[in-house]
Amino acid sequence: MTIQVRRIVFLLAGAFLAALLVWGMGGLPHFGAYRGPYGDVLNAVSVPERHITDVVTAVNFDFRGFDTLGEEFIFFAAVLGVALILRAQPGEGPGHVEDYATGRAVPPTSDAVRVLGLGLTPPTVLFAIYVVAHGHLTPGGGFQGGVILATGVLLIYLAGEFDDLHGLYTEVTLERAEAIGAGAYAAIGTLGLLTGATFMANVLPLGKIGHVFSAGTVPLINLAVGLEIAAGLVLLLTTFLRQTLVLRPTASPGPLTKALGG
Amino acid sequence: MNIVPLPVVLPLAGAALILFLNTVLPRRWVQGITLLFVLAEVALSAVLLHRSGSGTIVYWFGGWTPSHGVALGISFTVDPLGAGGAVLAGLIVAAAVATTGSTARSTAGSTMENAQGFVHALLLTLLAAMTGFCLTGDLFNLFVFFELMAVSAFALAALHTTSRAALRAALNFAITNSVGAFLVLIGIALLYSRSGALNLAQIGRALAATGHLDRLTIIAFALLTVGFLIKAAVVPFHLWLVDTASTAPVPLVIILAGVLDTLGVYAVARIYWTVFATSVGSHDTVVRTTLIVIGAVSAVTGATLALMFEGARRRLGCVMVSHTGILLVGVGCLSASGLAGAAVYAIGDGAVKAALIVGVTVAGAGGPAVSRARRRCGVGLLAVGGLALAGFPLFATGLGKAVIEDAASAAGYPWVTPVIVLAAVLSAAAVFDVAWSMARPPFADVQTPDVQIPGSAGPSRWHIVFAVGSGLLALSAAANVLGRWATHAAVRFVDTAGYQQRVLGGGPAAVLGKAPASIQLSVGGAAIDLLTVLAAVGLAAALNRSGADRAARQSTLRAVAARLHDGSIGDSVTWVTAGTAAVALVFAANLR
Amino acid sequence: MNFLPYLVAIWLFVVGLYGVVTSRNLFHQIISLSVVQASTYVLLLAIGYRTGGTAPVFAGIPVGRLAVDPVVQALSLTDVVVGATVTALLLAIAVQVHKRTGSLDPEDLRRRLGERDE
Repeated sequence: MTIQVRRIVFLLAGAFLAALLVWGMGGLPHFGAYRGPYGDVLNAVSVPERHITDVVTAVNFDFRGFDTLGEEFIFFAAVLGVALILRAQPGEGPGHVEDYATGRAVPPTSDAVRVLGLGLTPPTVLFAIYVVAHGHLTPGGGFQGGVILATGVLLIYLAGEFDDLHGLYTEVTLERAEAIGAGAYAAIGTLGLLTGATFMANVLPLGKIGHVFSAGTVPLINLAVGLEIAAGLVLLLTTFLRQTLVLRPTASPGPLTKALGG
Repeated sequence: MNIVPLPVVLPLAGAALILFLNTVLPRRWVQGITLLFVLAEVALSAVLLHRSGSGTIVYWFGGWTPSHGVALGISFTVDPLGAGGAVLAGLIVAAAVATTGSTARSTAGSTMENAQGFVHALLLTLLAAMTGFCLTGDLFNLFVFFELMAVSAFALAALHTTSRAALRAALNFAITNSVGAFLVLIGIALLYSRSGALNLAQIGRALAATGHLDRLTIIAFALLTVGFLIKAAVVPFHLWLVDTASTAPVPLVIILAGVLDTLGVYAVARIYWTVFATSVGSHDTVVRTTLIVIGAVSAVTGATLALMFEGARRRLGCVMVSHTGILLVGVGCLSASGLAGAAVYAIGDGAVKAALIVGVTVAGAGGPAVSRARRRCGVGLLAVGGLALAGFPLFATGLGKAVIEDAASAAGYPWVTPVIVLAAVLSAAAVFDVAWSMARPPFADVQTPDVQIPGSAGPSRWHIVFAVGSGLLALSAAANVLGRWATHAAVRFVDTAGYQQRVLGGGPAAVLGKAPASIQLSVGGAAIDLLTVLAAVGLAAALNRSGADRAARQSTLRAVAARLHDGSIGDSVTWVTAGTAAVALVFAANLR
Repeated sequence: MNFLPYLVAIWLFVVGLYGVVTSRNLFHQIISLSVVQASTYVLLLAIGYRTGGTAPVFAGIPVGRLAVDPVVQALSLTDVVVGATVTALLLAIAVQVHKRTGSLDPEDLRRRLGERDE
């Protein structure tokens, strides 16, 4: 279809679809009138049975922990996919690291920005660890904390240069860390099987409500997820940055040497 | 017992393991380890299949059993059909892994030493997702595995990053299927609001309690059905598959052909029978007609496109669309016999479609330098596969096709039989045409160099790939004995009340009816099948004799078809919107 | 106010789809897909809201206190992760498309007449 025809067809179809959706959603209860049993039961049961005060984390990592295992592997697969898609093509190789937006002279990073980055990074990392560790008590958890941790690493790049990341890690380390995080989640789930309960059963001691070391397996799962998300996100960022800043067409395809810098 | 989660968890653990050991493992080992995990999944699923025969297995994760009819956790509800799907997925993925190759030397296209490990890890996550998809009894869990399948497949589809066509196809694939996933998610949200639950059995009970369908559930039903039909790639949601089949790496296309599209239809069936069947009640004729019409249109359109288009894998993609349409007709009969026929057909036809992809790879891969013996083997696979597609009674496709035709006639749609026959004739003729064009030099269709993945099968390993293809055809023939099992599985599948009772307890006592006769190939059905085969061969011969420049024939129709299938993402999403609106309109107008 | 959040969700859905269908830039198209995704978040969270309910976190408040639905929040969390990962994949593909063809226009990406699959 030409783009004009497509526009007309879509506007018609979209109008019909929107109208039907409005008609259908007219059957929803009013906004604010949530009725269903599932959420109320979990709200009531989460603290007494599992000593978890953040019910959302309880839903994510205990009641419906198996869903989150799947979600974690979705992230795993996507990071692998991005690394696969952005791999060096034949005729490309690592070159001099520079940001080459055409027609721009890039000024060197000012000292003020460097100091700001230096000042912001440690609190960010600390906050990330706090969020991961307290996921079962207050809003937070492995996913949120992992993202914040990756942001800390990104701050280093933003305030400095890409080469500053060079000394921190290698891509293989990140991949291994991600694999450990993902595998650990599955392993913790298997703990339940080993002790005779079902998969994903919360078999560790539940501790006292409100303490960091409580809620059985949930803090451990949070740690595993936090590790995986942080490693995966940093790998994602590095892959995109390497694609833009490092990979250059070479004269002839050569063996791929060490990826960062080089 | 406790092996229920293992068919899903083991492949996932395998994926993590392969990533961990990626840079230290020799290439040959990566393929071997992957194959080990896949075969483990097949074995475990087979055990579950056997055990579920005596009673649907219900497994509650985390030990959260339902209290007072409210399901707190996630359940795996393993019935024979679901377990069978898991086994099929494992077998097809095993075939795909066997074709990835593991020669130590790298081919010219290889640029990342550890790309192979990534590909195998993604194949394992894909397998885990498909297994979980078949075994689960929870609606959101179904969605999570649906997305895991999707993401793994998107990543694999974009493997050939230097090919413009491959990138376009991957984008189309990803965007169209994502829209489908969003439709499913909205449907889930609406159902959750109405029923307050995410467990399939519980939602079904809650809906049945109100007795009829109200507007919310009608729209939710429409959205869920369309969302999964997009994955199944039936017309008009098939544009992504035609493109992806032509350019994606061979292991992914094998999986798409063998099982992934079937799973979309499986989900439609599962959701209908567990959630909506009771409340749809007497309006089921509307649902039946809708599904059968969509299936029939897909069957004929796909087959016609297969004849019109060029490019071996592109035409096979159209054949895939066509046969998923036939499968949908079987499911759309909304009866146990239709479902049984569809089950047999899914296994038999899925294996054949995968074998066809293997055949094209063996015959055409590597360009003109391929040896004569190799070319002959590939063409042989295609020719036998074509016979199977037409429904030659030796293969399970013959049994499945005949049973589907009977079920449709019994349900009151006698026009379906000639339509299915036509689709089978056209698609088989297209396959014969492809085989013929690949059999003679020079090559009429020069396909992708088919570097499947970096470091993939070179000329010396085609024997293994050919063996895999032959094995798939043998699987299709062996599936002919599954008539009795399929009937039993289908009867269990459509027993909504029994399912709910098994999962949640309580409910009305089961009414044991007479066990239906197991499906088998009737004389009439076999006759129709043989007629189809003869007609297909005849059509292929006639097309061949009437000249090589098919460009002259039907040129306007073909130009229009080509324009409609030019890989545009906007077009694909427009069709999705139109299809969703149409189905929703039909349901809204008729299901109250 | 009774149905406004649901209308917002429907609007986002349809507008996002319009963006995907008529876009002339791949990045714009991918972000439009994110807009479609955002509509699902709005819908989920609106369904779980309860007037007068507090967040389902019982640190410091008694367990019996009226709270909103935690399940949809957990579902939204999963949804966000899925959406972000799919967007990342699509953006990576778009980067390669630009490198290969020099153009980001989806219309340029269409199959030309007589093009062979390669």
